[in-house]
Amino acid sequence: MILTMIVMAPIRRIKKDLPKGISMGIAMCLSLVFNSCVEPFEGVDFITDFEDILVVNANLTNELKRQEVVLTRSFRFDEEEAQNEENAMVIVVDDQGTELLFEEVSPGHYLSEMAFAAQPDRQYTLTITTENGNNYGSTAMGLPTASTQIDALYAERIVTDDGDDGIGIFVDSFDASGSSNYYRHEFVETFKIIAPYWSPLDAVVVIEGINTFDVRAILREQEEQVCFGENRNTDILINSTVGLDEDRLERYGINFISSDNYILSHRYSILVRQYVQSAEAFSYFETLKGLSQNSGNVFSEDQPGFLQGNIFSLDDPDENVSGFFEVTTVDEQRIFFNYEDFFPGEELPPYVLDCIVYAPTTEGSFGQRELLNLIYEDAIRFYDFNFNGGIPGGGPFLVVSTPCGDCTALGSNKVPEFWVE
Amino acid sequence: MKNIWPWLIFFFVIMAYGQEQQPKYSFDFDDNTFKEVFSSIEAKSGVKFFYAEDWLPETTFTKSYDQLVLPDILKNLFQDTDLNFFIDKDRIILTQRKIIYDNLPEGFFDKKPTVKDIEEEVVAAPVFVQRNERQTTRIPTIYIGKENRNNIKRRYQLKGTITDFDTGKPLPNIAILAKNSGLGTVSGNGGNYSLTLPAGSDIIEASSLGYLTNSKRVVIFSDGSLNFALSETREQLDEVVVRADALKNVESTTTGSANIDVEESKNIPLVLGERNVLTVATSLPGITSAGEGATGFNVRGGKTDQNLILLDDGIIYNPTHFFGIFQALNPVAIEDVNIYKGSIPVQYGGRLSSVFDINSKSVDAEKIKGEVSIGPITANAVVQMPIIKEKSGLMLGGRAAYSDWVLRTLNDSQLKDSQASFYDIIAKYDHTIDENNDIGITAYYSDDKFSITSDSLFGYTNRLLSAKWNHRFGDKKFGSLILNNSQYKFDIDFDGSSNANFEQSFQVDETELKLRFNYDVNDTHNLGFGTSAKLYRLLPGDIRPKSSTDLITELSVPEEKGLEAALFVSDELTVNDRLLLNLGLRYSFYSFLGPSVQRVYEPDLPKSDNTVIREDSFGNNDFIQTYGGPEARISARYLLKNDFSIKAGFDNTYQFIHTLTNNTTLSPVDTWKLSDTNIRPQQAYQFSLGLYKNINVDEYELSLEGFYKRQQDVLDFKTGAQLSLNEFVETEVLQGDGKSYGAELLLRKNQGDLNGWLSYTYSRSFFRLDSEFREERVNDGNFFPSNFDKPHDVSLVLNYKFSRRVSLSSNFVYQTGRPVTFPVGNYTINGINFVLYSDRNKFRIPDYYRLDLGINVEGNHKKKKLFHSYWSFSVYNVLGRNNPYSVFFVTEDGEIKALQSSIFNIPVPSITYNFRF
Repeated sequence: MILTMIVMAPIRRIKKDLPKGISMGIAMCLSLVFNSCVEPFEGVDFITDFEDILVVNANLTNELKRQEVVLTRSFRFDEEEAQNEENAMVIVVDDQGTELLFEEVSPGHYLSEMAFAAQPDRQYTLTITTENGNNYGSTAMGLPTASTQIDALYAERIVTDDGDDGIGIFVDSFDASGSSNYYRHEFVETFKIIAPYWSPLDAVVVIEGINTFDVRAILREQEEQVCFGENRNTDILINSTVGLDEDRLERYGINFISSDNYILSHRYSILVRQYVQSAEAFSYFETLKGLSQNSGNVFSEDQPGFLQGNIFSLDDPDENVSGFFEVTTVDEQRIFFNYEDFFPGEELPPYVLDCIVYAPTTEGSFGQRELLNLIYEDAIRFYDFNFNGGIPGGGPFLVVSTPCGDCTALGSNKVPEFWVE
Repeated sequence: MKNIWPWLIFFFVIMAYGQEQQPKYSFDFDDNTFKEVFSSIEAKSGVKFFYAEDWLPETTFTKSYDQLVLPDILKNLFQDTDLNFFIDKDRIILTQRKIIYDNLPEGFFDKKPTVKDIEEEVVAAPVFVQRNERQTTRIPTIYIGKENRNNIKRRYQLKGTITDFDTGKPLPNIAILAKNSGLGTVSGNGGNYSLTLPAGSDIIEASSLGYLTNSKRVVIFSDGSLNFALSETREQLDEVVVRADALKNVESTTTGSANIDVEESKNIPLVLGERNVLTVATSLPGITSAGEGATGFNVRGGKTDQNLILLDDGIIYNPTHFFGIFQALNPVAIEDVNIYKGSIPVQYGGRLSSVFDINSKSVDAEKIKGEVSIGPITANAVVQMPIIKEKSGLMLGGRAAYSDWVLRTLNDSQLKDSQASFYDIIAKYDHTIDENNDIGITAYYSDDKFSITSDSLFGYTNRLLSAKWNHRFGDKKFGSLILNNSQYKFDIDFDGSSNANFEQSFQVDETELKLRFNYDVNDTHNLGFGTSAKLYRLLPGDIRPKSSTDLITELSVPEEKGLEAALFVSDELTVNDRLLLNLGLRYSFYSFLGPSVQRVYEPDLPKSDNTVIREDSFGNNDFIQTYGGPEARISARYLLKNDFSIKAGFDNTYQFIHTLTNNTTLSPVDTWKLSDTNIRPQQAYQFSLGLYKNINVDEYELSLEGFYKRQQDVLDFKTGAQLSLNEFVETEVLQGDGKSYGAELLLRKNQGDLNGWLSYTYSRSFFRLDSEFREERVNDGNFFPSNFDKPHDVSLVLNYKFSRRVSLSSNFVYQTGRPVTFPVGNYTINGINFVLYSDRNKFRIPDYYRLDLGINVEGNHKKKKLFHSYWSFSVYNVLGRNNPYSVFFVTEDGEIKALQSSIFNIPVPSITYNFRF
């Protein structure tokens, strides 16, 4: 709650009803302004206060596969992404003493040497020795339940409470044994993108001199009209059925895509992975989620703090380690749908950006020619020649910004293996 | 120092005198007055008499002397009077009742007595009267009996009658206190009192609410009488009165207590023109405010919910308006506040850290009086009027903010939607039934409404009703029966969504009956005992859709009931002149009452929704779960010297009701929770030790106190806890330990044009949240600094009186910045980036400091004035220090930014006009 008091010019009032004709001048010097008095805070230095700690991503599932452990470091606020923890020794040990060794297949990514599936009634422990000799270990974890199943994954056109029209993705799941209880979901959505201003040709600069230059349109060398974009969930999706009459997820909302989102335009697919996790893991993710969200209530900020998972330094009890070693039961499903399936006859959603066709000039001296510079910057794509009737006074080509003419700016031009038209 | 010179000269002269030959004289007096007698002696012998005329007996004197030396003549002359004399060469100094000794006891000069006017009074041994300026200017000195060198009796009886100065009517129930010796009594029927005092000097104070306290310095050498005529307080002007707790400070057994006279709050610069007693409290050692503009106090490392704030014995859950910027107590209607940070008296219980015992003014039953105060935010008026003349009176007080009006005048559409308003009213009725019975009834109500965003409106109210019947059983026994009821509730009204509007509310209500007796058995024992019972009714929360189109599910968490009862007994035991013990024992009992459904959890697992074994149902008023235990309240005082004492104390406390907040500060919408089967009561114990020294009677007061306190089962919460509208809060609660210790220094100057105090506290406060379960551990289960761990805390309050009408006040505060948890990086889990936070409270926000200045200008001091008025000008935060209230972090363009919010980051001036009639 923030209040600012500022001083206003005095307001003079004379009160006349006082005895003996005494008048009273009251200068009032105040106004209350409900306005944030917020300014940058200098008392924290994100460079020197940075804590460099090991972050462990490890989710052992009941799928038979080469299981994966990802080791990274925490990173500064001015850095884009995490540094990988390379050359570590990663071993998972079960309660029968069986050691499952991991090898580093790419920086920070460790896969088990052999494919294996987490077995029910076994307890697994993760141990890590980093390159500089620090040892870490997890608490022992086991599969919470033998199996789980997504009974249904489906899309529906809905209107949200906020009045937004769009597609909701829902999951139904039921565990008659009642032993699942704690669910975490991940999804990957894949969608077809068709560049609206694609042309088979592309603009290139052949040569540019002080007085002369040569720009041409040539055939494109790769697929740039139809691509496939991919998004992952950006929130932690967890849900618990504890306290319900049945261990059942019904019409549990995984995702919502607004009807004006371009990713719905052609064909859309979503893969949903459902993990049944332990109560401890659930509680960890629940807290993690709470910490990352602003409650929005001025009276109840969450108490922040370091969130301890189930991985600890074996050498220094005061060293913080982030991450959680999960052992989960998993199931996955994928669905596809087209825009027409839910929005028959309706106009497509607007493209991801407004596409404007224009004709940058080639006038100017060396280094000043607009069209050439845009080509160098890879900021535009050729759309058409600026013949008569085009844009008067413009350069030789009609162009659009790159994503409008080249879908590889937004996705991959390779058709995913799972893709079904 | 300069005052010692007359003394030195004086005594050197005395010593020189003894060597001389003495001439002889003859006199013949016939029905002469003493004055005439002195004139004749002066004329004949050349000596000069020094005396005050009103000492002289009015009788006349007839006698003849023949060739006698002057000392013999004088000895005879004064033998039937209460005058003593001393011959100093050719000066004859008369003293009333005292003998002037020509040998001084050792160390006399070390005491540095100061006398302004030797002719008026002379100090003599062996009863050495510590003189100071105040005595000669303010307190009259009365000599009782004549000092007799042969008298070995050391205690004398003082009797007298207390009357009303105007009417001459005898006044019963007036407290008579001998401040130096700590003895006291109360005037009985007919206004008579009797008090046995040690020989020597003492200050006798007759005081009663409604009357001006009348103090007389008494030098007692024999049994005698002393009458007081008390004036009503109407003539009392607003002097800088820092109450002379000084003597109490040294003499009492309590450690960690303080008394704030509401008049004192005038001497602290105002915040937006509002006097605030609670602000004065935070300038005392060991008490810090949770933050600027934050509700609540932290007392000696305790949480904000651990303070028992009482108005006329009834509890006030939220004693502030407007986020803690203003106190919710009408400053004009309040007499004083007693604060106990340790040695909490046995009659109080139920909170761990402190008691703020706020007393309203006692009502004038003689004539109509009033006071009006007009400030930039509020207008305030208090009227007292007799109902039955001389028997009963009614006080009505009301205060309201017109800040809403200020907001509405602003030309900002956003601000026009905001609102903030508050008011409070108080009514008090005092009735004296007869000499032995009186009753007092207090009613209080406060109401706050505010909205920060245009879509939500918050409101909270305090309601209090308290009735007290005092009965005297003779001179030594006294009893009180107290009944009170308090209610606190808040509402949140949300109206900013198409179909998710709601009303949410919370309410706590408690009713207490208390019976208390005091029996002053004899000189060594003073017993206090009693019992109390309190019923809590708490509506933890309900939420309702505002209209049928709103999709909010109606939810109501069932009512909670609890019974808290206590038996208590204490004895103030005077072991000898130096050692005073206060032995108190309180037994607290608590039961969580049905109807209720209580969950039983797996004993070896953290409490969560999936570790529930079963749910037990209980019927109405079943004793579902009981807690309780003995609470010791023990303190001792040992007088090392008359003005220097050492004290020690131990006390332990229970608390059965807790706030649910994961905020660092107390907020008006925090809910409270009763202890039940799954939430244990909080407990604390505290050791304290202190040294107390007064200099120049009570001109300076110095105290150094240390404390060590442990707390158990203090509530904290798991991260992301869902606290409101949660029927099973225990799944979100962590109960941990607290540890705090500190040293508190207070230096106070009570008199003179310059007065004030300096307080410095060094203290630390830690919590530990440990558990066998990882998710219930914070900072690996180690002690970490609490949110209010502010090691250094300095307050300097100074007043300077330029004249009787103009005084300047200043208030300087410095505190170490409170601990906070900062983000220290990013990390990636399952492809999602999260902010990495440091361990809990690893960092600190910058230190807090602030200087406020104020000037009080009194109206003229004419006696026959219709009303008395004064102006207060003040500037809050003169230095314009931008003290961060909170620090938070936002991500902007992928870059994290630290931002601070502050409440008053510029100097804030204000003017208030007060008048009383």
